[in-house]
Amino acid sequence: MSQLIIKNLSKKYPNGILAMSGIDLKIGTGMFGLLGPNGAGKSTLMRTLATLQSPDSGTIFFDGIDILNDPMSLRKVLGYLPQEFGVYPKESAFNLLNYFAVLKGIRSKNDRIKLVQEVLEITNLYDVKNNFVSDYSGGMRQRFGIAQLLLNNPKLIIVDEPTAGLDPSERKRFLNVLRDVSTKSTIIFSTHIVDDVKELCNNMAILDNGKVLLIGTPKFLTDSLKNNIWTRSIKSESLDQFVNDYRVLSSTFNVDDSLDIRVFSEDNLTSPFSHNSPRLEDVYFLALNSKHTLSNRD
Amino acid sequence: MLWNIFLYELRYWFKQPATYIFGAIFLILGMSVMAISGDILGEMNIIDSRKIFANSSFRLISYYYDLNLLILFVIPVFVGGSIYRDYSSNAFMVLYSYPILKLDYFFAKFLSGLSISLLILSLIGIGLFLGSLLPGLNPLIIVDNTITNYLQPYLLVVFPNLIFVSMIVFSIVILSRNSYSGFIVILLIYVLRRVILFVLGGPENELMINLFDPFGQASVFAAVGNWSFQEINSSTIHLSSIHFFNRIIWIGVSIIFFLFAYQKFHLTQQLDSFKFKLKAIKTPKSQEVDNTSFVRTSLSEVASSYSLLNQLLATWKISNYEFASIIRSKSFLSLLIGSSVFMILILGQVNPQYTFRIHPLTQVMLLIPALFYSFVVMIITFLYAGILVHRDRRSMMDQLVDVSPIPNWSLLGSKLITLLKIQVLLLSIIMIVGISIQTLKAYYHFELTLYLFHIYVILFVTLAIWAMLSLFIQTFVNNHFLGLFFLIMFAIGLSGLDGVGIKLDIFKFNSAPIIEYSDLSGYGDTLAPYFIHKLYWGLFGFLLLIGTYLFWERGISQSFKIRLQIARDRITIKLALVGSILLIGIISTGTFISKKVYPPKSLMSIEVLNQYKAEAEHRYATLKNIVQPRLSKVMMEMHLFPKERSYTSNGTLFFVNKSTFSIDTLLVNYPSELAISYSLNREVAIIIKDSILHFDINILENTLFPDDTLKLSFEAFTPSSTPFRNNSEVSSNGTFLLADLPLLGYPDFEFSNHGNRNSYDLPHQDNSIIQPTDINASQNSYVGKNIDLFDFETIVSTSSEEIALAPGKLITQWNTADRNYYQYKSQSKIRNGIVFNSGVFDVSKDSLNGISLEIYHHKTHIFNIDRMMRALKATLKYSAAHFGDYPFEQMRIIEFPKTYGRFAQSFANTIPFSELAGFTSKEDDSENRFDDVFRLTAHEMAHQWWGHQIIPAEALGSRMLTESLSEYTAMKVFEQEYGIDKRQLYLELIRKNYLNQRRGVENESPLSLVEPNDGYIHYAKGLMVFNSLNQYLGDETFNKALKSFFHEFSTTKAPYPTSLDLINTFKKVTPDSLHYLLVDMFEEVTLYDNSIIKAEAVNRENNSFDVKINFNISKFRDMEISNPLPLNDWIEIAIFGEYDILIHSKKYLISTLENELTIPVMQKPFKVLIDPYSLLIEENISDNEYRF
Repeated sequence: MSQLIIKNLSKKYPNGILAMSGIDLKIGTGMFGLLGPNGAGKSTLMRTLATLQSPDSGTIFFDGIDILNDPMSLRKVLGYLPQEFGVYPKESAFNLLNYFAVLKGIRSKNDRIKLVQEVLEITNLYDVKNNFVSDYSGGMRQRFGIAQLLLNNPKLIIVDEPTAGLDPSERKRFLNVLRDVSTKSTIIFSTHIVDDVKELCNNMAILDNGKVLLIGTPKFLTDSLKNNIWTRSIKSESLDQFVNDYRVLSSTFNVDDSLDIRVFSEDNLTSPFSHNSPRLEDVYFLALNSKHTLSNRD
Repeated sequence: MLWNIFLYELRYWFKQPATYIFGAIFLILGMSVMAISGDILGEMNIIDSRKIFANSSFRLISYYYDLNLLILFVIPVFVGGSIYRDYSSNAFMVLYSYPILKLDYFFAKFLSGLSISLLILSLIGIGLFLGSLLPGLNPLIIVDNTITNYLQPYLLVVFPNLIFVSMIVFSIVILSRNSYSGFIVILLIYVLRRVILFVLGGPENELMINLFDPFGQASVFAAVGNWSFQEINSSTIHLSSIHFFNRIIWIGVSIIFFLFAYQKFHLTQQLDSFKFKLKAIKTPKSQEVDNTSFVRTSLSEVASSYSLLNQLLATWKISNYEFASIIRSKSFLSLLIGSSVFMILILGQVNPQYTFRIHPLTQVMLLIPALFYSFVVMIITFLYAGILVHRDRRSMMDQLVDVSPIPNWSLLGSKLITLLKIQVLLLSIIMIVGISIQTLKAYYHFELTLYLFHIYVILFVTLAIWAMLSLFIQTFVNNHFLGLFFLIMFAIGLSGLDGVGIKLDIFKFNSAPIIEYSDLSGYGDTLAPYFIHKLYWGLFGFLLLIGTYLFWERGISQSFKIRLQIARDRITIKLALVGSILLIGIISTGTFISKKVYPPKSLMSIEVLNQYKAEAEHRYATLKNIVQPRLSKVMMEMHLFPKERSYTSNGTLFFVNKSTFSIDTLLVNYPSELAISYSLNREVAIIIKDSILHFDINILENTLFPDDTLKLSFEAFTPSSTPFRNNSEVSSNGTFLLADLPLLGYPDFEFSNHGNRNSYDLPHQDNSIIQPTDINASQNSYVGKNIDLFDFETIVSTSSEEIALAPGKLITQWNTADRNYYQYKSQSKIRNGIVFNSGVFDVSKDSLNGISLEIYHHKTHIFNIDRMMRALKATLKYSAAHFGDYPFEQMRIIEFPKTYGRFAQSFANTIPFSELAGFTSKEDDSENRFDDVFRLTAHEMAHQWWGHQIIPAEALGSRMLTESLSEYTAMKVFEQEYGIDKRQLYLELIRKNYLNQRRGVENESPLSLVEPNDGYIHYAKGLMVFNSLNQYLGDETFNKALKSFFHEFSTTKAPYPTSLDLINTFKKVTPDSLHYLLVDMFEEVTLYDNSIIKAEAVNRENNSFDVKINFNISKFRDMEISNPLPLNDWIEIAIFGEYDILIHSKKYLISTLENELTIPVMQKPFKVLIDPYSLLIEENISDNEYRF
């Protein structure tokens, strides 16, 4: 059973931004969601895990590998899909995957070809394997990203905001592929889309301002808000008033220009507020809006 | 809108650090160029008469051409960059959707890039100007600044070139969306220029070159060719019409590119070709969304291996991928095509204009392109090193690569291997084209091993070391364009190191002594010094690779401080150990080189030696004109050891007191390089042994009376040469060695240079060579003091494979102890200059009138044997008939390796000939070419009369009796063989040579006082003078005079004739009316400026015409064109009819500047010419002709 242990990880950039501030995490096999708004420090954490950058302090161990001092050992079992990536122009997927297979230490040509075909099948790219990757659509390109990271049969897979910019059907397909490969490995999946986590992850953390706000299974976290979520419809002009008086987590417009708001309250609220079952989204917004409450909760 | 985008762009560039870095580079570059040219280091030896001011208009323009490649490479960075950055940042997707007009966008981008480039380049001029104000410059070569001189280069050169190249680069980048293509297109223009110069080059084609030199370098200086040093220093170079047209042509070419690009460019997101490809991609059916059913495939278990062997294999495979993708790219393909075309044109010697052509020997195929092409491949290496190092990052694939378990050394190694493969591919073009050209020209002697060794070992080693440096710089600087700039500056700067006093190759990156190959002696002694230097620099290159490894960027980009930290962390004990071993290797090879390869340091510094010489001049002053016995007989042995490249020699020299005095003091000079010992057959006491100037002063116990003979016996040897250093002139095959004998007389050590004499307070010497009027002039010949012609006998030996030769008749030959021995004895006395040759030769033999004619040559060099043999015979016949007998029973032409030079020289019955001078040159007899081997052989053969029988005194004008007369004789023999038209072809070439070379000379000597080194006078002008005199006096009178001179003055002992003796001989046969010719041609430097003002042909009855000509005749002395001399000159006027048939030719007596003449002719005239055969020396002869 693989385990990634992150202790007290901190990183401050020269421009003063504190991207990671004492992050502690233990992550086991399965899909781990890292949820946070843009600029929360997710990518810094992901790149640090992927051996691309060093923290100012802290330690990271994976299966006994000291990642910070022995990055090469981790790279042998690592699969990484960066938030943004490109490929050499005018190269086919087949050629590029072959190239990556060489980089990943697969020696025999037959093994490489077999493996490349398999990852192309898994990611459903086999039919376009001879097209230039630089001409791929966004979704195909992301799946190509998965294909390349699978080549060394990684134990630790890091995917950084992979669904950003994908259309719903591509996103769906991408998540399916990811789920499929998640059974044997530790996958860390960062996103700012709550639904991604909800659909996929068996464990998650919420990150903001370089700090871990919350850790748990999506179900546990959602359940923890049972009986505390209230909803009602209001006029859009009175939103400010409600925000002042209540802890409004989110609001959505209705067709008639009225607003449905969701409110967190441990006390019972009277009609027209009505009870509603909590969603993971509520957990996320609550964590971001009221850190002090959450720290009490822990 | 255009203006807005333009300003926006400028603001962008002003925010970029690169703009300032490039600006600073050029400012500093300008300052240092001026500082070094202004001799801030005090290293220059400035000769007053030939100095050019460092801040003259001429030099200021030249600097921009010295920096041309750097200047041009700014263009892709800023002009190409202005358009490329919209593609690379994907900003174009947004930008193109704005309501921008194509015209605005296109021109705003172009103009902003152009402006910023011009701004940056203007800093060179400011740098040059500031540099000229630095303290410590040499005031002799820095004059007051003229601001226009600093602006002129921008108007004439920089700005036009900038526009021309910018338009092309902009067009290429906008069409290809590839920023590197800008650099590649500039390289291609560079290669194109070389091709244009080569194909159009030649004496006839100045106009074409001026018009079509892409950078206008030829045309901007077109006028300067005629200028003297004073004019170059004082004049400002102005726009000439030819330069103007040149600029128009090339800017026109670039406008065509530009308009084409404008036409093709659309404000859309995809290139045309790109779109096409996108359409071709069919999204397969299976790509449709399928959420439910999913085939689960698990990966097979595949072994990954991280062993060293696998990593090495991976390194190789990665380089295969990189190499494959590079050679598939259009830019590389165009480089490959450009290089091949260049090679085909150069190696094919397609230029019909060049007078010197050569057979397609393998060594020639390797020699011709080596320098320029290696430079091009080096620049390509710089470029592709950057492309490779920054490739992952540019295509944003770096994060994918960097997390893979591949070690840094493997990534770095794969880039190095890819670079080396590129080099090998580019170098292969030499061999492919070389062999193809040889085949086409039906030359089937392919020397494959020579090709392979020279290309893939010798040339490749140097380039590989450059590859190491370029990887290091590109990694360390971590910015492709800056890296490229630093590399080019570094490479160009290397050639400037000599100028700042760094002359040793071990202090100049990747430098080594020049390597030379000869078909006779192979690489000879140049190979080992080359490779030991390459070992030294190769070790240095590996050290650079360690540096590259330390600074190799992996992961997220870091500040330099952190990179330094990372580099420090990467140093392991193993790495430090390897580094130290490399360092020790470098130091020990460096020490070895300075001890074993470089010439041993003299014990005395130059200053101390000069001081010693200055004092010696005073100390030995009384000995200066001492009378000594004269050499009259030499019996010697010479034993050559080709393998060891050494020799031993011994012998006896006989000196006779030919004076009327008794001699009691002997000054014995001996050569400094040899280990030599000598003894005399009389009792002497050595009173001074000067080991610094290498001579002894001996006092004879019994004086040597008149006609007494002194015998000097000597033994000499040279140490064996090592592979790294030559200790003698002996070659492994093809030795060409002059005997170095101990001789008598005042040694030749005095300074002749004015500067040195002044600084050591020595009395001014008017000239180191005495005037022909000096009463002592005739006492010594031009080949040495106290030496007359002497009897000669020798035994010469060499290795068993070689034939050894020396002057004289072969008496006998034998072989003992596996060595070949030959005994030669000369039937006649020989002139000093004892030459020994030895080599593996094939011999061609013939004879004429009992004289054996022999040509010793390398077995494959058979191309011109027949021409040489014909020339020998023709000259022998002509000279025997017109001057006198040939004094020997044999004549030998002997080939020597080109490492000794490219020339031929005449010794007693021996003419050593360079393999390049005559044996391999390609002669053809087509209309506009002439047989130069025949002419050169005839010239050398003629020396057997003019130089070996007429032996001039050691005085000014001596070469008029040797070189000028040999040239004349060769011309006559040549004319007999090939006719008057070919003779005129040669004379026209000579005329141009003379006029070209006299430019920039301040005080030209008259022919009668010519100095030994002024070849343009004694070869070129001498020939013209004797040819003219021959035409004016008539062939018979002229040759009769020469014959009488020959009979009166051919001699074996003093007194020796001077140039004045020949002039006096001519005076006797010259009518008074032509006496002015002798003064004008021999005693003064005289030029004409003649021109036809107008001419008309009046038709009289029965097809006869009156030709009425108005013409000017102006004669003046050198440098006095505004002061014409009074005339009473005979000038030939010729009229030609249809088909260039001569219908009238006559010499008219002209006594006024302006003349009018009416000549009746019986045919329709087509043209009229003054001085039709160029008997008079005149700069501009184009106005001497009038066509009806």
